[in-house]
Amino acid sequence: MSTEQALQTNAASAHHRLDQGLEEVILQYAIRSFPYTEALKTLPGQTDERVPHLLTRLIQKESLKIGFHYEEMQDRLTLLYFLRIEGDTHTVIGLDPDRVRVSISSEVQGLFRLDDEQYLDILQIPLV
Amino acid sequence: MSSEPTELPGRVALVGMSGVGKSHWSQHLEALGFLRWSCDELIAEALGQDASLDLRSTRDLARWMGHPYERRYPEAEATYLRWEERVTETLCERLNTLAPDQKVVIDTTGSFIYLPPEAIDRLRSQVLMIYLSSAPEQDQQMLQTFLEDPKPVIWGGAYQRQPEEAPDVALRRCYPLLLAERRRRYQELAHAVIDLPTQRTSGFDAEKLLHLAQAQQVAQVFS
Repeated sequence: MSTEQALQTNAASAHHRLDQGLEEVILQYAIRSFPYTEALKTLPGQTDERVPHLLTRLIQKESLKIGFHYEEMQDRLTLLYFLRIEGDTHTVIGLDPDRVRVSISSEVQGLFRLDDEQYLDILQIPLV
Repeated sequence: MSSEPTELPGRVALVGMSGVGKSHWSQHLEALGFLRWSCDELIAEALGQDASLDLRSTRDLARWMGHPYERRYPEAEATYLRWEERVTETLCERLNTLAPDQKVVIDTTGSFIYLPPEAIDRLRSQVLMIYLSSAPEQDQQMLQTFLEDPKPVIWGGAYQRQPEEAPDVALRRCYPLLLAERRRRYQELAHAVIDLPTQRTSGFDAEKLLHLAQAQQVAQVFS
């Protein structure tokens, strides 16, 4: 099974309910630490101050979803940003959009947990 | 989620063929507090100030411009584009003088794509450019509308009459070619494309238009 197929099969079932307070904290952290702010600042009217608002809006309108993976042994949190292209189809920001298409059900909103298998699948995809 | 303020794009230009909904959506955005600038109206106003042209309506403008097979057409086309470029430059300057939070929607003309690349790029760098697209299946209806109620049309070299071909026959043959070329150019310069079926989706409104366009623009950054 290719990486792309595996992601398509599994990502939609990746949503585990989190404590709402914890979800809020991770989301805010994901917005604050968004690593591609410079790219968004190339858009007309976008500034350092406005980009967090833009990300918040994209999340609220389900155009952007955030997948997180937590490695307990190393106490390490990894965040991946999934941008909706059409319907349930998403790309992963930072990975080659021509090679990676992830299907995420519309039931998954905002934040979702990536299990170990999904996380490892994504790690195999070359960076852009 | 945080309750911090969120924002939609505040500087927008709508591009596309005549009759695809640019004026309709610009009016809806105006109702949301956007300043609305109509290039068609501004160009007509500018040309109307030239008393020698005696232009009082869009129909007058279409009559003055004429058809691409008429002798006066090349000069009228060039004059129109000169004015369109001036109007576009003026709008770009005005955008710079407004308060940053002042929202603006620019309802462009169908011929915006024929301006010099510098003029196009200047506006494109200041606004979110949304292409309201039409499908090739609508070409026949657009031709019919054009024949029944002519508007000033910039052909940009798309009218090519063949030997022995009657002018009106050539015009009917070339019109779909004109539309195809325009589609290609609109698509090329747009940050976002909103098609007609999407516009007609139940519940689709100006805010959804902005959001969808913004999401596409962000996707384009990472593509």
